[in-house]
Amino acid sequence: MKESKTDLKEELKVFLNPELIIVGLKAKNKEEVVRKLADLYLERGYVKDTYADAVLTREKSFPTGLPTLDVHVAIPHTDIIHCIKPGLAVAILDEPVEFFEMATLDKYVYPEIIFLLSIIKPEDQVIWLQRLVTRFQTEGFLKKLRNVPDAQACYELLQEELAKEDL
Amino acid sequence: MPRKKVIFVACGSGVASSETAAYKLRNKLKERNLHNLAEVKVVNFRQLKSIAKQCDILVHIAPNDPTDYGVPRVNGVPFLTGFGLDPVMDEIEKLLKAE
Repeated sequence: MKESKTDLKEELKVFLNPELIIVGLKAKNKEEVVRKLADLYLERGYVKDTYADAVLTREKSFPTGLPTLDVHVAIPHTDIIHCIKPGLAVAILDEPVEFFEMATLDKYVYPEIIFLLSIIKPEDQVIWLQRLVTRFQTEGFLKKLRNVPDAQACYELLQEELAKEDL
Repeated sequence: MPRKKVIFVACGSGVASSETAAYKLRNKLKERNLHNLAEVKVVNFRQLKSIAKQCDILVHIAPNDPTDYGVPRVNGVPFLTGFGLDPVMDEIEKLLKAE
């Protein structure tokens, strides 16, 4: 790793923000989830106003639902031209919504946790995505995340887990 | 020793899924002591058609792409979910060690 640990900690502070987390979101479908989270980004200057539409368009041809351990997730995202600052917006849903499974257009998954990504420099943000994806594969993590009581608890859990060295 | 082979990891935008899968793939190659046999590059599907011939193995994260790129393809989703990762790595190992 080219960066020191302090730099990484500072970077994580920018990437994760409790104001970008909604716990207990009631949404009818994935469009609604993506638009709600995208609004949080837009209000805080993380993304351009083209972002939400771009994410939803991309989702149609390149779905991002993942049939992960215990709890399904989705990691919608789009090209860097629609993003201004790197971020990880999170929605923990009351009820799952339907997504297509990644790399298919005919298999459904039912994510209860949506991670909407704002990526501006993939080689810099990949460390967080990689750590997040490693946690997806860790028994109990997603269940614990789904059951957090509020945004602050969600933020603290993610911060603690993502600050850990790679497994 | 066989020559170093090129692995392309491709997804819709070459931003998140493929970068993350490539990171995991590089770690897995190290674990299996195969990292000297392969170079891993991230590409997006828009580029793929024109450059696919430059790779030996294509790790794909995109739905039903009927294009024949003329190179062996493996599914990249297990790098993100962890399910079915060993068989995928076995396949890649076989392809890397092939003449």
